[in-house]
Amino acid sequence: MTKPSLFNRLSILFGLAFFYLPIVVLVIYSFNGSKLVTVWGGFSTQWYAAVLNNPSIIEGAKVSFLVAAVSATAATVLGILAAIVMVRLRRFRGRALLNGMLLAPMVMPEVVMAVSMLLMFVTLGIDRGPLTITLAHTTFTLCFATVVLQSRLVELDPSLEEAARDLGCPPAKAFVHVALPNMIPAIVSAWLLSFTLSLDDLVISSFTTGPGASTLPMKIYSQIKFGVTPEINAISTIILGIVVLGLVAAQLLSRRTEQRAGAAA
Amino acid sequence: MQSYISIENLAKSYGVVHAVNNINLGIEKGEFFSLLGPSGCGKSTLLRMIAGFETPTSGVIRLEGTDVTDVPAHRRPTNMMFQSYALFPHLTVGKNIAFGLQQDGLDKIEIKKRIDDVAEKLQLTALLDRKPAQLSGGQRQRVALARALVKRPKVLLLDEPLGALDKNLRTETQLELVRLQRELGLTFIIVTHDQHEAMTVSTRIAIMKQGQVLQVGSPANVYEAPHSRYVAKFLGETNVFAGGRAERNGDTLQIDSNEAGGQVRATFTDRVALDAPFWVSVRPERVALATSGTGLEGTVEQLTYTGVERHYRVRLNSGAILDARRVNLGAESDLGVGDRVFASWPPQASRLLAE
Amino acid sequence: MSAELISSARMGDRWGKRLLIGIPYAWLLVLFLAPFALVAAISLSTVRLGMPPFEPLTAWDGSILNLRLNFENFLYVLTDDTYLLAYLTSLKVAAISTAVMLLIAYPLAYGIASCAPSSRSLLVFLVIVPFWSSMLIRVYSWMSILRNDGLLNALLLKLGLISEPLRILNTETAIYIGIVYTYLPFMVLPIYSNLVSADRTLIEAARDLGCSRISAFWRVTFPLSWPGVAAGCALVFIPVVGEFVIPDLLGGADTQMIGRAIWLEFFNNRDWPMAAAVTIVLLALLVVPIVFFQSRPPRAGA
Repeated sequence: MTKPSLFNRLSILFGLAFFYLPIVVLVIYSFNGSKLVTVWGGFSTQWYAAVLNNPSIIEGAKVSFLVAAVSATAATVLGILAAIVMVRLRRFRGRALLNGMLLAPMVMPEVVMAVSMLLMFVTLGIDRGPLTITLAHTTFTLCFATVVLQSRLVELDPSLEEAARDLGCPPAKAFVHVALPNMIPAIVSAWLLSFTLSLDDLVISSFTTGPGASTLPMKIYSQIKFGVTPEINAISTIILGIVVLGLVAAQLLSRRTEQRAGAAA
Repeated sequence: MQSYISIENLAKSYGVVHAVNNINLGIEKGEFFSLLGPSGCGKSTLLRMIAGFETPTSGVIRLEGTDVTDVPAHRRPTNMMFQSYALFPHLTVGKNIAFGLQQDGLDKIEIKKRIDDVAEKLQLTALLDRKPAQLSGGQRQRVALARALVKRPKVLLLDEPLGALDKNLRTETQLELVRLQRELGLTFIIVTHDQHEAMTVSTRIAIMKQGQVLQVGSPANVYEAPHSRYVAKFLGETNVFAGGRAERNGDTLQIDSNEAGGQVRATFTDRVALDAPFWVSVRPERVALATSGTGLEGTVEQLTYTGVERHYRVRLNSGAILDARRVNLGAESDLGVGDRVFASWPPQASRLLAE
Repeated sequence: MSAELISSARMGDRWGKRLLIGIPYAWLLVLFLAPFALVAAISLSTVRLGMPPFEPLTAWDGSILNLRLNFENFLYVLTDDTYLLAYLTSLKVAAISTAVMLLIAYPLAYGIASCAPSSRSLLVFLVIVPFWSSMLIRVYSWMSILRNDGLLNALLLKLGLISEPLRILNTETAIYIGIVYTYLPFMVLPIYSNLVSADRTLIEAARDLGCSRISAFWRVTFPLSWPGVAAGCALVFIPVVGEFVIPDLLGGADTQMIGRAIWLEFFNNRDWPMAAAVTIVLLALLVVPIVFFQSRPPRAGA
């Protein structure tokens, strides 16, 4: 395709503006000294102070980050296994079912998954709390992680692993030594994606949580229901900042890991 | 006495597709054995089963008498040179070659010795510290070869190893491979779709089609004495005519061929039943064309000059096509397009085929 | 090589493979598939106080096992006007949002795909970044913008385009804005990834055979991009039907969607069997689109 036309350029411009407008508004107003949206009360960091001094928010943040980290790790590990199975094993009984189960959560409405997982926890007699939230989050982020990992694994030349096996490496070791190092950016992406999805989740957390365990989105949601407070702008900006930093760090990290893997003998 | 490598009733199917269908082969020690056939004939599948990457659906593979059918790839004393070379991109040439020896648990001194040894043989000594991305295609191929050879496998398997090389390099490398194989005294099995390659390097060739082995023999054997029209046409070029009534005249057979529009002669043989349908095959290089005399009558339809030879495409009076070839000895051709010619060949040049 | 070593090697291989397949399989069976059966079961139960807040389906009466299946919830859901309206509204909102998103996403994806490869990655990155930030928070920020005393109205009033604040928040329009905003990347990325990997030579062939630029687009590019479009629609339509947060925060009482209905049954009414029944009916409605789109697996491409 040749140079983008004016139509194309405008489409991109409007599209991106649409995406970023609310975020920009949010960030600006988190520094607004006044409570009202229409009045600029001078630059102020009071809302940030309020957030950081709010024990409920801090507690919610701790729960959210812990659950997100654990579920992201679990989802990534399971995703690697699932990707190996779907890409490298040619045919086995129940392959279609596994494929369906791996993809369906991506399109399933959250409330449906939330209700069903809750009922499973109740039936199994598992006490609801951070554990059940983590299990639920792992399950619903697994499909996203698998898609990312699977598309990377498909690109890898299977003859590299075969060569390793041919030269004496048992299959598992061959995978770990040959394929895994070449998958690191994908693994990082999958982990970050799962982490973000978990961190942000409201519906599934609300259904599968137990007494006393509230995630950050749940706290933010209840604050919103009570009335719009500018503290929320501050929390949002903080989270946004963390996520952007995380993304940038991940990019740098994966690039350096690639270099190091290349240099390592 | 059992063969060095014995393949017995081997079959591999994927669902309803029979990739390899009941193959029996015996390969001897020190052979340079080719599996030759078009794509989809099952030759790669067969090679991969010997390497251990595919599990046969049925049948047995024996190496020096031992049943290795259930032995996984990483434990078989075979090594493979992959079509894409499969060099580990993050390791240097030296480390690539060392990889297999490390898996065997050899000590460092021994490893270094073997690497230096094989590097010298394959002229890789200067490249040991480079990464695969910095090498040319030919160099990469030698590294792949070195990596496999350094483990001193009982059998070296080569999967279409020369496909990525340009023509001149290919010919060079073919001869290199033969020299190396003889020098090291190893057994090579090579998979190729290129019949020139198979003819150049092999001690014996197995011609495969649709999962089955059609014929096995030395290059001369399969070229001069094919068992079927398929094999005859697959290796080189040939003219094939349906044979009709045959009359024996001492050691010669006079065969009527409507297709050829006349009589052709062949040496008498009882290998082919003459009262059943049969065909006569003659190679273009054995066909002599003359402007007068006896033989099948026709007209030169096309004349192609390839430098080494002249190819004459003759339209026989019967309507069939006859291809003839003459080596270019420097003189101008005495025949041109549109000339009437008589085509003939000695009886020994005819090959009778039952299928 | 002893026979035992060989067969144990193969056996180890086999068990390793079984474990490899088994772990993700078991996880998904227990936490994804089997739960649906539970939802179906409990939808046939009756509500009660206590934990769990529903009656068991089976009860022993001496040596007789009684199976009590209560279809009342289903009867109610399928005949009650409010619920039927909620289902229809959900489907309607999903359909219209999907269509609107397609109209916005396609030119955007096409525009990005037309750029040079270096700028492309940056643009795709820019499209993805908002997605990484909290959806809840972005929806909330739209609340600030769309309120009667919010940014949009303030701007329009100041510019003199309107004399009274427009009532956008808590209406259906706000829901559409919120949904389009939130789900747009899911529509853009599959279409983009399809367009970017399209075979340029096909377009060149079409031009060579006499097609104008626009004609080449409609006759070659667009039909070929159909899998990307279908994937995008699948990734958007189905989840939106059951969406909760956006209708809850941006919509008003005049728009009832099914995700909210399930939430309310669960948390406000504490009627789990009813919530389960509503969920089952929702699933039944979505089975057709889900199965239809499973045959072409959607790719998030994130």
